[in-house]
Order: sequence, then structure tokens, then C-alpha cells
Amino acid sequence: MQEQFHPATFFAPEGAKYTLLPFRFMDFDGRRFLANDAGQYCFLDSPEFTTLLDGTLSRTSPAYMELKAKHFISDTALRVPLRLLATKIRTKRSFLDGFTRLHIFVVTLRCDHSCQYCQVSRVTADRSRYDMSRETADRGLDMVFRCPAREVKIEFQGGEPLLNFELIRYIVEEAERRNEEQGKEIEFVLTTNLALIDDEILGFLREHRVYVSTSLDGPAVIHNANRPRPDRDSHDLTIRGIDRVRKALGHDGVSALMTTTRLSLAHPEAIVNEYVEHGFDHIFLRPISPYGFAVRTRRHTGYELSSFLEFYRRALDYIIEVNRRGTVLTEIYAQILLTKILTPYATGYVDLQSPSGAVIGAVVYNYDGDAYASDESRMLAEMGDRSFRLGNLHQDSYSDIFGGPVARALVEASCVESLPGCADCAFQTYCGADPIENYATQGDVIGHRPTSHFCGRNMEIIKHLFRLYHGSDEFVQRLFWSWVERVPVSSLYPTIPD
Amino acid sequence: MSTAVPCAADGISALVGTFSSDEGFNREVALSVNTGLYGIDAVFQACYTFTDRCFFHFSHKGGEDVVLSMRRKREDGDVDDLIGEFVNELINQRVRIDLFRRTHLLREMIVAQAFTEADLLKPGMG
Repeated sequence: MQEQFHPATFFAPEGAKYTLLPFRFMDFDGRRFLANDAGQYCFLDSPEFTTLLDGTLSRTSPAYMELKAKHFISDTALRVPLRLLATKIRTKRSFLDGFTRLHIFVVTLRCDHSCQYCQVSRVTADRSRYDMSRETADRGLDMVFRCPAREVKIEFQGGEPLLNFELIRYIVEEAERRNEEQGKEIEFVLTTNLALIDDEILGFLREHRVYVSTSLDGPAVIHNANRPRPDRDSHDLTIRGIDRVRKALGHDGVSALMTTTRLSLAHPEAIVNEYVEHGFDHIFLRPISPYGFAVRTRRHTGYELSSFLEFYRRALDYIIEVNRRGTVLTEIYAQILLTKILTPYATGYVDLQSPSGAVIGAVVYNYDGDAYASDESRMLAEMGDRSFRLGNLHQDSYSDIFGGPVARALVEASCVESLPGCADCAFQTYCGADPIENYATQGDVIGHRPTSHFCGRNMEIIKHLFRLYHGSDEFVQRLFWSWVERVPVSSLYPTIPD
Repeated sequence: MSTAVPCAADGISALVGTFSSDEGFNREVALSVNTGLYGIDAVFQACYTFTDRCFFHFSHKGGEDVVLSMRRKREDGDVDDLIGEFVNELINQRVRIDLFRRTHLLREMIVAQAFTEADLLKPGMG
């Protein structure tokens, strides 16, 4: 019988007492940072790294035991570490199960706001032109129930989706009716600016357990500047809406997102305070998207990557201090990255996956029936570029849309394991690829990592989190674990896991 | 105009020169790199990581040596530092390629095992 594998001695340098297992490395603040495909990592001094590679690392050194425990080396039969690594990698990639979980219905393009950075809204009364029809919604639901995912999230976006609330009501009730046979776990989310919320809508949301996601960019002066309405009352309406939703759905029935504009950059503390003041236990520090009106208004709203990173660091420092004073507040992007760094688990965050979440994790049904791989693809289409249009609900089948050439090209272009600049990156397991942002900002789906804002942003934020976690402040370590475990700091065991 | 500056690294036989430009700073440097020592893949990968800072041009010098011209896109920092960082990156890339060669079969086995129901890791394999 033909031998399938090389003997163990093949993988070890001559005379070595251990076998190197696969890992990537990079220079990090004068040391070597090593990480494997399961996301386990360690720091070594340069001499230790050299002895590791040439097979002479002492068995009695602390580094040896750490490297062995984290599966960077093996001095026993390979079967055990390989099996453990395989299990951890399978866990890390568990997001690949359940194709496709998030289905976004753009029920209208109309909006009562004219936000500076918005990609898609139209201030218009033309319902027939910019509202999704029931027929289109039915075709979208056909796709929801055709997808193999057992856990499904149906999200309503716009424009301002409440301008077409009757269609939201129809989709929710129709999805529930169809699901009596299908038995999926369906979660509904309404993304709204809350300006149009009323008791009838709140009653429906409560009855059907529809969660609400809204935008809160900071104090009134920032929020109203970013999100103009004729009466400059967006902030008031949002805060009043949040209170009303909480009374109807409970405190956790509404979450909020912020977008960082140029105006935000000098006010990280005020923005964090706004979230604390209004009772949120989370904040998501998001950069502005490089799409749509954000591109057209770049002179007023845009900024350099370094400015965002300075804003992020200041805001995170302040969030740590807020927590130290006893207020529970999680920064969501840090929580996602720390979960990827400190645990073997997947996060389900589609923007940091390989392959990316486009199509695999999420799909967007536009008001006109066109299907897109992501919200960003739709934004590009509204700018006139329909490169990432997967198909149309009225003209194309499930396999045309989810398995067609556009879908396949996006998946292929978003595997970091084969992208130049990513393939050897030691942060690969924590990061992801965004071919649509690459296309929008650099002209092709592969992108150019040395000049990519996506790469630069994630590289620096990940490094910042490592520096904080491995710094001298033990409270930060406990806080980060509390974010990963989603419990208050006071609930953690006294000892932080190694 | 060219000015020779020292560059101590095995396989980088000499820095051919730095050249003044109209902008008044040394924008272009040239390195002679021994591809027999570093490997041409490592040279290309190191160049890639510097493409935000430099334009590159290769020419064959003869034997295993290539002349690598690096034209800086802007004046940011000392040219000696640029060369030092590039040489370090060249070493990193060479080590990465060596690590890949030594471990890629294991990685393929681990990933295959991770995504299959069958047991691919037979007893007695190591």
C-alpha cells in the first residue's frame, strides 16, 4: 500500500528534539510575534526565535513550554497536536455553517433625513419608484427559506424603512406563516432613525419580537450636523425614540451604532459620555464607509486613517476609564477582535472573516429586486456601479444568485490565506478581507495591502489591543476578558486565563 | 551623482549608490542582491511590503545577482533606515518561505482534518 504521509522526521530539522508546527510571525515592538491558524499566539525575543527555528530551544526554557502548550512545536506523536489544531480551526471557522444567515430587505429608499455620509437615501414622496413591492418581498422570502441556514436574521433597512412600515408588517407575518412548516429560528431587526416610531409600530414590534437598531453619532451638536433634518431635531427624535422603544420592548430592545465623521474626531470623550448618559452598555466606534455620499462629501466628512486611529485610541482609553469607575461599557469592535484573539470561537462578524461574509454570511435585497452581496455592494450600485449585483429576485434563481459568477468571484477574492500581503501576515486569523472595499478604494477586489486603509486600520487596532492587554494594567486584562465573556468585570474569576 | 554608503548584510554585496534628484533628497537607491542566498521569491515579497514607500525596478546583474533599484515616493526618514528595514524584511521573508517549506504539508493535513468527517490522521504517523 502506498504511504500517504511523510514520516515525522521529515518535518523536523536534523538533530532537533521537536517538530515545528505551522505558524506565521512578524516583528512587533522589538520582539517576534507568532500566531498559528487557530489564533493562538506568543511573543519571543529574537534570540529565542532563532533557537526555535534552528531546533536548539532548551526544553527547560519557559518559552518551550508555552510553545508546546500552544501547538507551535511538538515533541511527541504528531497525531495529538494535529487533531487539537484541527478541532480549533474547525471551531474558528464555524461561521461557514449555516449559509446564509443575514437577509437584508431594503423596503424603501425614501428617507426623512439627508445625512452627509449616507449612501443610499432619497428624500422624495415617490413611493412607486423607491418602495419595495409585496411581490419582490415574496421573492426575497423565497430565498430566505431556500437557504440552508437554520438560524436566520431578517433585517429591514432603507432609506428609512418605517416609511414603508406596511411592507415590514407583511414580511414579518408572512415569514412567520411560512416558518410554521420550516421551523427555522428567525430573528427580526429594524434599522431605523426612530423619527417615525409610534404606538402602533411599537405594539407590532413587541408582539413579533422585532429588535431595533438605530444611529446615535454623539451629542446633539455632532448628531444633528451628521444627520440633518429640516428642523435640526434628529437627536431629540432619536433619544425620545430610544426611550419609547425601551418602554415597549425592554432596555435591550434597542441598540445603537455611531459613525465617525471629521466632526467626531476631536470629541471621543463626549461621544462616549453620550452613550453612557443614555444607558447603553455598548458603543461601536465605526469609521466612515468609503461609499456613496461619503465619497462625495469627503471634503467635509472624511479624514486620514491616522486621524481615525488617534480617535479610536483616545475613545478606547476613555472607555477603559469609564469602566474603571464602575460603569459597564463595551467597545464592540474591540470585543470582536479580542474574542478572535483570546478564544477559539468565531464571532459571526461578516467584515472580519475569511472568506468574507458577502453571500456566505449576508445578502441584500434592494427595493427593486436586485440582490447584492453586501450593503456596501448596494451602496456602490447606487453610485452607478453594479459590479457586485448578484442577480434579480424576479429574473434569477437561487443558484443563479448565490452560486453565480459574482458570488464565486467575491468568495475567491476574500480568502486571506491566498491574498498578497495577507497570506504571510501573523494577524491573519484575527482579520479578514473586504473585496468590495478594496474595489471601491483601490480599484480591484484583491487590493494592495501596503496602502490599504482596511489593512492599516486593523493592523494598528490589533496591535493596540495587544499592547493594552500585555501592558502593566491588570484591570485592562480583566476588562477585556469581561468583554469576551460578556459578563461584568466583577463576575470574572480573580485569575486571568493565560 | 552617486554616493556609496555601507550596507552590511550577507548576500547584499554592496549598495550601488544613492542618487540626488531635483527634489533635493536621495530618492533612489540601488542594491545588489544575491538571489542564491535569499531566493527570488523572498526578494519580490520584501519589495511588495515596501510598495507603499518605493517604486522598484529589477535588472539582472549576472549569475545569481540582481540589481534592485528603489525609488522613494516621498522623503520620509533616513535612507539608511530604509535600507536597513528592507534588508530585515528580506530576511523575514526568507525565513517565512523556509517555514512554509518545513510546515506546509502539516498545515494542509490539519486543514483537511478540520473540514472532513473522516479521520485522516492515522495512528503511527508520528
